[in-house]
Amino acid sequence: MIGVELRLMLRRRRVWLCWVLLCTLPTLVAILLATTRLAPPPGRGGAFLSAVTSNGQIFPAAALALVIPIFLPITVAIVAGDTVAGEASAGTLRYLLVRPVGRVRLLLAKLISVAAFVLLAVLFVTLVSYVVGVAAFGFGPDASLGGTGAIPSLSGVELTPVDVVARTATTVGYLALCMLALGAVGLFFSTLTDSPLAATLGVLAFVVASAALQPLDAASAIEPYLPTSHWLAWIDLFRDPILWTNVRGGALVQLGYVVVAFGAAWANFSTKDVTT
Amino acid sequence: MAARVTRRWVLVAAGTAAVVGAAAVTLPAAGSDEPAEALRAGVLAGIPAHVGYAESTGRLGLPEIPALEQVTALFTGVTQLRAYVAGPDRWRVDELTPAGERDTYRRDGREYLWDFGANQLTTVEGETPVRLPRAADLVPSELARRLVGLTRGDPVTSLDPRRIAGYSAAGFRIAPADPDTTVGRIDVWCDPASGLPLRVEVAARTDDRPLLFTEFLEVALNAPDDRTLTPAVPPGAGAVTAEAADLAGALRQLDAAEPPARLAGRARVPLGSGLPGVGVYGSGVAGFVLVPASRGIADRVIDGAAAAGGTPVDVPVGRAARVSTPLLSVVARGGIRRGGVLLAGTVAPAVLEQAVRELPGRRA
Repeated sequence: MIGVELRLMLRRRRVWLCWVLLCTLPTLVAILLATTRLAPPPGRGGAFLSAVTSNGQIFPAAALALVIPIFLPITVAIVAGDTVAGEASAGTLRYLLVRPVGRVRLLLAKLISVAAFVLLAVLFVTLVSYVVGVAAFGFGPDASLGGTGAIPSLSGVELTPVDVVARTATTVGYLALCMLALGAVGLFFSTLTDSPLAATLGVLAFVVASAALQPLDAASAIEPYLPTSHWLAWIDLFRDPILWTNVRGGALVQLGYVVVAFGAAWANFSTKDVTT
Repeated sequence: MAARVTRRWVLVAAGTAAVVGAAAVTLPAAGSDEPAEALRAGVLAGIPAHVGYAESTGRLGLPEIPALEQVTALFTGVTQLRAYVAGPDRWRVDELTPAGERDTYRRDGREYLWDFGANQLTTVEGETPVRLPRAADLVPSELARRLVGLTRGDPVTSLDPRRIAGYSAAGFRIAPADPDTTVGRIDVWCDPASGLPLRVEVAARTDDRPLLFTEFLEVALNAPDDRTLTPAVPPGAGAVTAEAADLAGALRQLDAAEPPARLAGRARVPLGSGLPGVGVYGSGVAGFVLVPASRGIADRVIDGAAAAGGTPVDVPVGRAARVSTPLLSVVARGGIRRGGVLLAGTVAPAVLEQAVRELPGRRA
């Protein structure tokens, strides 16, 4: 079942289109920065963006910061919103449930396929932006002096290549979890309607509402529980020493969303009358 | 069917409540027998070594002051701080931002400032008796040490204990007695065993809500390792050295007048080494500072004050404006050559208005 869903996802043209578009934005930004050399001034613009022109190896971090607020959530909303509602609108859900497969197992397979999509999305952005960043901006200042082309942490301390790989892998895992939480909400919305578009728009409305509440003083009591509050916590992984406080808190909140949204999807879908 | 539907949703609701409850629940704080006076004495006795992460929130509603945007931001928003404190002369405080960090190190009698955005490490030699507020001042332990030191003679009372960063923190409240200060109360919660301040709240006389509060979210009572306290310059980054006394040179260029011996009924506090034109008046939290400013800066503050709800002040020479928040008052005088000044302090606006009127004009 899980293998079937994963193969189905990989065969979808829109999934590949999402990945291509996600990688295109950072590539475009890299080309513009490389040709104009007009990086944002320190403290302005996206995280790490002011520093990429001096070291292309930082570009994956800048690229992730670029796609996280809007582009990545949109692609997750499209894919997650389509999971169940897409089958219903295509008229295949009924036939899918005729097979000797429990509905919970079907939902779990759908969630795993969303998880695979978000993990691959973050991974592709990271790998493509590393290649593009190094091609556009080089390995950093010490590489030209015969050094190893190490990446400086936000605290100024140089990170060893092993350290960089470990921190980047943790970042990919953390961001994939953040997007999986959104994917789980999308899966729930997808069980509520037969229209994939409605489910997708529901996820986007959820993201916009969270982002709108985040800066409000009046919403400070619920701010730590908003999903978008933790999307930039991975930046703390590039400090030295690593600040785990926000990453740990963020991971727990995102896990909470996955559990609650999957539970709601199960509660709704297990007893739903499927007529399409 | 309906019963099954309801049962599943009840299960989901219970699970959601359990998840939210697990996140929101905090252990009750244990009470402390330590009297408030003893807690204050513990803070004054010295801050133990610690490593922690804190968040400071300022709600002073200050307008942006030209060239001082970084300072006003400390009192008008949330500042994320990471502190590594080995002792009063050996520490590091990081101001964390989503776009990087600005770190201040102090060791071997020097200060080092690392700015990721500027990609530069600045070594600062020497010290000045007066300086602008900085993020490191907002770490709970440092803010408590300063404020409690400024209010040694003011009455202190006990507060209910609170659970902070995993500690049962005992609290005490200092209510400054000076009628001219805007500070209504300073609340400090500290670990009674070590004396480490964990949370500080400052509220104005006119508003009971804290306008500045800072709290450790995580803290450990251990000394930071030497590697953490050593600033690094990565390849490609700039490294410059500055003298703290450069500020005195910049002030000297303003050719400001010697500050008067008394202003608004308050005597000038003698400063160790000279900062031309700078004067500190009064004591404790009822004091204020007089700083000479270039005509351009003073005029921009006065023009900006009107937009920020400030009010003009009648002065014998030049023009002046006042910006007052419930906690901090600022008065700027400009419009005269080499006579621009800024006055700021946690005092009633009327005190600063009186002070600016008493200031002599200068080469009008």
